[in-house]
Amino acid sequence: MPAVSPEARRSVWRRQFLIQGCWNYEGMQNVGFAYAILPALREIYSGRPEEELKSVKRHIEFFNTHPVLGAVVLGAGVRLEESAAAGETDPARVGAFKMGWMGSLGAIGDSFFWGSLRPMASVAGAIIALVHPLAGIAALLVLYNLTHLAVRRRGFAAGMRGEQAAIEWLKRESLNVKTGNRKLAAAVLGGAYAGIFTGRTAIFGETGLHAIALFLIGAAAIQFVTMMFRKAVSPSEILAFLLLVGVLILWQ
Amino acid sequence: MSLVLARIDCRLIHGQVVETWVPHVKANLLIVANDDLAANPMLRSVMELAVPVGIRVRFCRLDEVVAAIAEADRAGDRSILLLSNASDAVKARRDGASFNLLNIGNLHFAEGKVQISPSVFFAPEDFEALRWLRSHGVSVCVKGTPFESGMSFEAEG
Amino acid sequence: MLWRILLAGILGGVCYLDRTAAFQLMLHRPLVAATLMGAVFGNFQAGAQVGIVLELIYLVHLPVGASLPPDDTGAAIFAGTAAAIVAEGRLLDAGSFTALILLSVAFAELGKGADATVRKINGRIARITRNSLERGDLKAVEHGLLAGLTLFGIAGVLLSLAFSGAGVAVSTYLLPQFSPQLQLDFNALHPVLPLVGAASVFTCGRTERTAYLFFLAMAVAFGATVLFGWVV
Repeated sequence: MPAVSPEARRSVWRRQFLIQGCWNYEGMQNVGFAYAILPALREIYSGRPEEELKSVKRHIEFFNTHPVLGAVVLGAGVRLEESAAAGETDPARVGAFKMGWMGSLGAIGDSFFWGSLRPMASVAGAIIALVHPLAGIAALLVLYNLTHLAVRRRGFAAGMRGEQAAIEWLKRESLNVKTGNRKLAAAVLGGAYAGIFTGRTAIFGETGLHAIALFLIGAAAIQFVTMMFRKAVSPSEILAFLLLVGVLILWQ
Repeated sequence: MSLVLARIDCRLIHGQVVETWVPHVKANLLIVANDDLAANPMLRSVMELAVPVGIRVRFCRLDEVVAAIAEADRAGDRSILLLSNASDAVKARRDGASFNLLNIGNLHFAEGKVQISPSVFFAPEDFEALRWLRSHGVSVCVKGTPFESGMSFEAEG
Repeated sequence: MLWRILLAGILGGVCYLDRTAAFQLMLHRPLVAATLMGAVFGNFQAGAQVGIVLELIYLVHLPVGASLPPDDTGAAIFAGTAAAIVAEGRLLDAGSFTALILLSVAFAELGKGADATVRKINGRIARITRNSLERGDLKAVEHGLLAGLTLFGIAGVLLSLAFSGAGVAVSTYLLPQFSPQLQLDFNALHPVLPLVGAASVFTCGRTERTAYLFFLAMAVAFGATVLFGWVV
């Protein structure tokens, strides 16, 4: 089996960061994926230009997954192309593999990165930024990227060991369990954030009763806005409504 | 009524489903009706990893949809039915699957398809299927997530 | 002022590239972008003040598939710029703070529209790439990606120029129109904004076991803040 050289591998690894560089509605990450895997294809099919062209065309087909977990598909894609070039795998398997995996990996990645890790890093950064903005920014970037880059690295390496290894890695990594834990952390930190801000308002009150009333109003407001979000009201609509209220206040 | 959402999505379970629709309709069960998937344990095991903790998933063949929904009904689950294309939806409905509202989330672009929304592309046979569904009491709504305003095609007659 | 806006355009362009096209290292987050704009216009503390609140508000809307969330990077570029200018080296007053966060929603929606347009034009680039490949041109993939990336970059720089320019205009001409008394009236909405952000995080992080923990943490942090405030 013609294994790709470490240089080509590193080149694919670097290019994965641009997988959304030409994001479009028809093919989504198709151009980005083809671009990322290209150095490996060049090497695998060197001296066989027709097959090389065919393999690149395979990867310009529709593709979309979570950008971080795209690393797993890229790794396993390189592996599959290697064995397709050696005649051990039907080239049609490459496309079927990508189509089969992208939705699931998209769901795992969206839940973990967008639905839990990012909110956690954001709210941690925002709270620390109350003490000092630069410390907050550093916390946000470090909290998010330590995990982000590690998942990219491990996922790509697991993919390079083949489909089966990739599944085992995904199971071991158990991102859906970690999603629950990050959501928990995000919720606790989010509560703290809300407490700090309502507390700052309550300081100006004179009595404890006043403070408790403010706390209850704050908690009720959060519960209400959360309900609106659940009903798919967008944050923009809520802010636009508040802006309208503000303008009416100014009008008086 | 325990079937809280019926959806066509060529990617079946993915981020839009688990992060936006599941909490929006408060579902606890995903019924994935797809013959390819039912025959491919490896793809199933990847897809299972995409399901959040606390939500169950059931894979079934297309001809088992009605039984799967009935079973979910009996257990009192709030379920989301996921189908990968319009002709599967027609088949499920013809077999007696009980949905009167069908959500279309994603249908990929391919040569010769017509763009309906940013992420939904119809082939001629999809229009055909849509017409059949609408004439059989199903309203169709094209939108990816509950946040979008979407596009509705009411049932006829 | 002009060179500051140009600098904002370049730095904002980098933030925008990070948003979708490249890396996703979270350089596009409102906390980062607003503080950066604050620094460019001479008061990073004021930029951070609006960044901290904008950071959370739009989290609830995930960038899943083809569904585009509001452009919180753009909102932060506008609000961060305006905040730094209004604050004039001090901290931002509550009235201006509220007004800027609320006005920024227009830019979040404008930016989202621009994002959708870029992605539509990319469709044309992708089609050309595909056709060139059909003709056997292997270079087409790299050219196509470069074209898409350039388009994202140019759009980002233009949006940043426009939004930080709007921030300069709003802070120089619009906000001073209102007397301090009127700004004080606007204060009424001030405490609500962080709560919208908290609700956004709560919605993302909500599972059965986290619901009560959120309010428990809120109560503890509230108690600690109030006690600390009263003692000091």
